[in-house]
Amino acid sequence: MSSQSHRVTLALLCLAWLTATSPTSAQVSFERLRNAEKEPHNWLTYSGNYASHRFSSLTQIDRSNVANLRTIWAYQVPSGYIETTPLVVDGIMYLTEPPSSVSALDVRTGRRLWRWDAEIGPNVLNIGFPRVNRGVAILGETLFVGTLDARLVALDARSGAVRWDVEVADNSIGFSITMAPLALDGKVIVGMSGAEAGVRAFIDAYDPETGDLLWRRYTIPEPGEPGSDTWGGNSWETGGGSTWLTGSYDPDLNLLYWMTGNPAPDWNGDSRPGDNLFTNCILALDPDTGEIEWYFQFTPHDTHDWDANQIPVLFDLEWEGEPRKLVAMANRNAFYYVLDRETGEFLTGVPYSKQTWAEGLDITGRPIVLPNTEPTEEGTLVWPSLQGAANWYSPSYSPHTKLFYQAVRIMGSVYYKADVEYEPGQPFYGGGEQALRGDEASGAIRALDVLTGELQWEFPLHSPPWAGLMATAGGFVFGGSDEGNVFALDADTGESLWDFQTGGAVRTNPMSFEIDGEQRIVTSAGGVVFVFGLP
Amino acid sequence: MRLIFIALLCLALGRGVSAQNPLEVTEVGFDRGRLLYQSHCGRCHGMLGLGGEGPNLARPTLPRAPDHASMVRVIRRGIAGTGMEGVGATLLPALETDLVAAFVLSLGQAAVIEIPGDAERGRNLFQSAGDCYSCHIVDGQGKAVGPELTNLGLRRGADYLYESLRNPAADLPTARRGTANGFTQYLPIRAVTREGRVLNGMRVNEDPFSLQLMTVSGSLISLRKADLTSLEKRFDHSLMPATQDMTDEEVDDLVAYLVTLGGGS
Repeated sequence: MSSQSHRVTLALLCLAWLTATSPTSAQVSFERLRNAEKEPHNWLTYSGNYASHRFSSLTQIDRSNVANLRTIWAYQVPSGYIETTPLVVDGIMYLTEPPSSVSALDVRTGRRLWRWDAEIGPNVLNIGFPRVNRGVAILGETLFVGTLDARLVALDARSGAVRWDVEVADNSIGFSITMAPLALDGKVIVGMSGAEAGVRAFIDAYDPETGDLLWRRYTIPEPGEPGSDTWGGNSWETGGGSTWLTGSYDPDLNLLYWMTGNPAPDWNGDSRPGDNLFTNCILALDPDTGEIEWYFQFTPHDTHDWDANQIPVLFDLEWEGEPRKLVAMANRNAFYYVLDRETGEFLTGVPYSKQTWAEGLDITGRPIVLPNTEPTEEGTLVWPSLQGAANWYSPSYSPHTKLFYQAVRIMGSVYYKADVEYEPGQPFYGGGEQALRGDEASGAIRALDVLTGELQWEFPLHSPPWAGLMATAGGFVFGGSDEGNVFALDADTGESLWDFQTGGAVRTNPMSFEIDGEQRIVTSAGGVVFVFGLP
Repeated sequence: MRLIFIALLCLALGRGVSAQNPLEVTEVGFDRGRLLYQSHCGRCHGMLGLGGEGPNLARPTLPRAPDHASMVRVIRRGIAGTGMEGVGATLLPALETDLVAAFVLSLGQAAVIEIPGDAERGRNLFQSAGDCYSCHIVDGQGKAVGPELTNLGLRRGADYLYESLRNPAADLPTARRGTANGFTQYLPIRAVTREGRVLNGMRVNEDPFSLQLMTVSGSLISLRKADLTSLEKRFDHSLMPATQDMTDEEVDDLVAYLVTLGGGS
């Protein structure tokens, strides 16, 4: 037999082996992403669907049997906290490991199929946040991951091989990426962190095939652009406005909803008089051009580091008798907002956690700020703390109960103001906080009427949480505590149905999938991914 | 400005290094260290070093960084498996790292004050009439119902000790490490079960679903919150007996002894 015949035989054998043993890996088209609800056995985007409901319509696990949950398998990472939301696509789980690596696992067993190491060195900067990563996006047969050193990398989903690798921004001046990108039709959207280093942040769209930049939308306008009159002097150059969590998308309106973070410096606003647009905003963007269609600013001229990067939840319900397309957000500033997502019109906003900084919101949604709530050199006690009433972790919305489920931080801080000068690649804080801790702080899982923000029930937590929630069609809400509990609460009443001590703080978002007809629920604690199911 | 700091630091370094205050930094250098600390570390450890998302640093001994060299190493390399990440030289050069280390190590040092009592008489009182060993461990002796006092003199000043002896509930200790980090320790709890059983003890740990208590006799009680009809946290109480039956001189003696524990002054 010739050597060529040997090669042909070997190739055929390899093909046969792959066909026999590999899970299928179909193309994940934009249509599949757009209709993610139609395949609840998979989890195709960071928040489960473009509307960011983080809701599973699987029903095998329900109120009546959730108490029987047990660990099916677990997966450990070498170090650091896992904040990833895994994707599950046709039998394969794709997750990120701190700080920026990607692994593919067999969802039946937890055994690794491949791992791509982002090779993040110790000198890579992360100013103002930990060395974590929150997940990947998938489009076609390609995964997209942002890295701590501010690269966007496209990986072959079957092997982890690099298809392309582009620098989104300069890490040496403080840019980083910890968020999961969002894949749309023919583009990949990515935001970045860095406001604590005084970057001028932006949102980018990349060609998924080539890695070419399609458009860039700066969140801080330069002189002459709309909103530039809300910055004093040259403060816009170091204005922050990071875009560090995954936004939502309405394919029918073709609007991309993206969130922006705090202005810089964080706690000393003297150098940046004005509202500091478009920091602490939700932006409705044309995904084809990056143009801002409308914006809404939650905390103008913020001096408490209350980024507005929380997940915007899209839903359609009647508002005052008329069907409306709406968006809701439980903001870090402790107010829950409902806006019209076609126009950005403010409809309602109410506190959902303890807050002492605003009398309320006016009819346009602008906060009526109370006096003596600014950071000072001596310190000013304000609720919520700089980590906010909510932070990066996700809420959940159940279309069944019409409730918005939020893990709530109830914590105050003494805010300090300090002088600061901008130096590239250095912290640009202008102060800080000393949080009230221990028995002076607490947390809760709260179920809010999605239209009004009215509290329907709450389940108390011992300390402020760092874990998101997932509601399911099985009638429960799945969450975690900083003491290491994972738990299921009745979605209608908040009654505890099941809990399990993992031994490590839960700082992630749950998700669910199905394999071989069996529903699984996934969460992480410490450096371990847990997959739960029924016996 | 940077050259001035270097000059000042060099002068200070020339004066030698000790275990507790390893780097005698000038006032200017100290202020610079505090500012750098607030910029780089305050976000997690709190602006006053009392902890936040990261642990409290105002402790006499930081286990992973008991001296200047190890403190510099931790700042530079971080602590694997924790939220403590190293600060690279690009962000915090060597001199600045030294100043931050010196500032952090200064946080846990107690002030030196004059105590009127007699430490030897205090020791006898502690071991005999005071019956303190029945609840406290010192140098491996005693019973661990209340706080271990082996290094008490390094972390508590006399004013605090006077207050604790006369009014133990005035300021219950706060956990500075472990899974209860930041929470009140030895918190008296009164719990009533569904069966009507009344349980009293001090909180060892707690989460949203469970509670661990220790009774004054040293027994552990593990409770599920779902099994309780009542849970009272008694922040204005302490299970330590107050010293009303002691004379002022005896309390002076006891304080004089307690501040020596662990090599405190």
